[in-house]
Amino acid sequence: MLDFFIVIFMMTLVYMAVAQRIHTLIQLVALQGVLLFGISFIHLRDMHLLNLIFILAETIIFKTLVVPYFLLTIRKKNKITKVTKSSVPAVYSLLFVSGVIVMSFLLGHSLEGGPLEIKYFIGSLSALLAGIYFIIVHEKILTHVIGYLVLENGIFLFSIAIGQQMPMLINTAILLDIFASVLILGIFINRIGNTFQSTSIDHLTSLRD
Amino acid sequence: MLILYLICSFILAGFIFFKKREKTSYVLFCLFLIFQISLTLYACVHRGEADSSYFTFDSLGVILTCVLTLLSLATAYHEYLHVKRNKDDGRKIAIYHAALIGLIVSMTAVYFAHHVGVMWVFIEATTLFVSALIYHNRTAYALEAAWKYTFICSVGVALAFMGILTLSIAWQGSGPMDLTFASLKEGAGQLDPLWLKISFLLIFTGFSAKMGLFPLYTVCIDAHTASPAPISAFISTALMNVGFLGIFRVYQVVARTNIFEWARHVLLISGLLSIFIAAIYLLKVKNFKRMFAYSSLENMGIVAVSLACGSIGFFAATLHLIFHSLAKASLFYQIGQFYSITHTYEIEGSRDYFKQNPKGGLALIFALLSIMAIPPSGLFISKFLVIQSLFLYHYAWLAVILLCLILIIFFAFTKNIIYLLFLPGEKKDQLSLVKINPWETYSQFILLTLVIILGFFPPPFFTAILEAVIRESF
Repeated sequence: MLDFFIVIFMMTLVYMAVAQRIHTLIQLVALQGVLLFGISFIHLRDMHLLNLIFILAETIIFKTLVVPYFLLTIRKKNKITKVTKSSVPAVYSLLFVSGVIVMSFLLGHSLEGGPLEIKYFIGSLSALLAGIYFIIVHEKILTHVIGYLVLENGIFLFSIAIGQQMPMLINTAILLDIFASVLILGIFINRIGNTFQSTSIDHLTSLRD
Repeated sequence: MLILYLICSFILAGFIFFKKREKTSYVLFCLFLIFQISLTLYACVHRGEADSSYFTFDSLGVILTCVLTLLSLATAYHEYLHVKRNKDDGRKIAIYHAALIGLIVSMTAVYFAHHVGVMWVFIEATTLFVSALIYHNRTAYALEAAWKYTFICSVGVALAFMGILTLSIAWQGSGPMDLTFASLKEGAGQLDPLWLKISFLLIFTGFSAKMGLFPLYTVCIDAHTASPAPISAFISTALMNVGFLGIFRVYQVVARTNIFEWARHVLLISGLLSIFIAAIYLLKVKNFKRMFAYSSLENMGIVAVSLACGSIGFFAATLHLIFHSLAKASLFYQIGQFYSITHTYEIEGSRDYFKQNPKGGLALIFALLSIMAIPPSGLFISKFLVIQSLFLYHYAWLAVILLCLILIIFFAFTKNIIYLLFLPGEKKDQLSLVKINPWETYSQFILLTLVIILGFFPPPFFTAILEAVIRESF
């Protein structure tokens, strides 16, 4: 079951590479939240009950409900429907993300026998690189944030892998989530939309030499 | 003590934020400054002692906190003048003070953090407070800088967290790993070299956004440009020291393993690239604050290079951080004064400043000599030691490249400042209306004089702390 969840998690990355509608991207972020909930539940079953409840509640409340809801509200308010401008065509993105997953598999297997379960490493490295890639190629601020959330989900998956031994680290990862939701989503995107009448990074170019 | 300080300070910040009254905000901010001074004195007295399981008053933390507290006082004064000139309303002033308290407290906590996770949490917190301060002027320009800073720093901090996770995976000893720095240093031999390399790279890349070093240096340049001048002074000095500390604490662990040589090369490459980029951009820069920001990039590059050169290099790096903080803060305070007279930061068309504001002009000359490391500036000693340590480590060719780059930077920087000071400009009647408080300039002279005294005539307590820093660090 755990393997199934991680494979689906990586498939969402592939789907994100070709998705053109912002709504779909947000739904995929929410789906990743559900998958992380499932993975945490299965992998961390033996953890202290209160801590486990805290982690599970965070994945469901923040990752699956609050953050996607915020994103959908911002999308509606700023009337953004599609990833209109991307410097790289979708087919290249598909190839890149697929390549990233293959590379993560190869790298993961070269590290087999080490201290970490390889499946977590593969899933999180793929998400980390795919997240950075989405930030680089997309031109909407909202899609940048989605890229950041994917990156953050990758890190969360990684922290689950060692969460049994070090629950403090997983709680710190949760802090990162809350920080991102409050700061990036709550404060800035709305203000940027109001100030520049657009949420495209084309308008954020006055600071340069 | 530190926990008590954290709780009291955050309560004060919260009270200021929710009350949103100008007078209350000033009174409580002064009260906070008293807290800050008290904590600094307490840390000096209890140097070397553990405060709790998460905080220790180690010598490096103590010396950087002394610099931070000194700059907090100077920044508070300049910020007061800035707010008065701008006629900001009570709400803006309250947010400003609350964020400034949050930033100072978070930085102090990073300096004394003894646990890698705790350090990371407070470094993350600085991003939140700095973005509020950058956005103080509420302009589109400030919003753009705040957004970029927040976003890139968040990515950087997330990468650093990934680095901390891989650090815990690198542990091959029995039982769960203790992430305090003392335990990490003790158990460094039991860390898997490959995972440790990955960890160091991620932490270095992540915190380079805070230190203003290659590769994630760009956000710092934008943030320094768009913030109010007193805040630029603060974040281009004390906050960069926070980034340095984040990297240095992990570097100390790496220094006890067999990947030390590799880590030294990472620092050398990053440092040299930072200085190279600064030299290129300083030749074409069009804004004084951006020029100072690129100068900070150069200086952090020098710190990274010196860190790679053993204990002499580390001594030079510590001195450089302290002197750079004092000199660069003075430069930013002075350019804030310049802005209040001319209402521009643009290099093009800014002329004849010495005639318009002789005291300010003198401070600018003094600051220029300081930051360019011309004797009797203390920075001369630190830069000299860096070059010397490069020769000692058989990196003569690197020393030559470094000297060439420093020469280019000297030319670009000095040319712009000399033009600003002495080139005849158009007469502007409205300039005479602006009154400059002489204490505004005197405060800069005090900081710049400290750069000379601490460099050439160091008092015994300063030398004792520096010796302890070297002893404790390696």
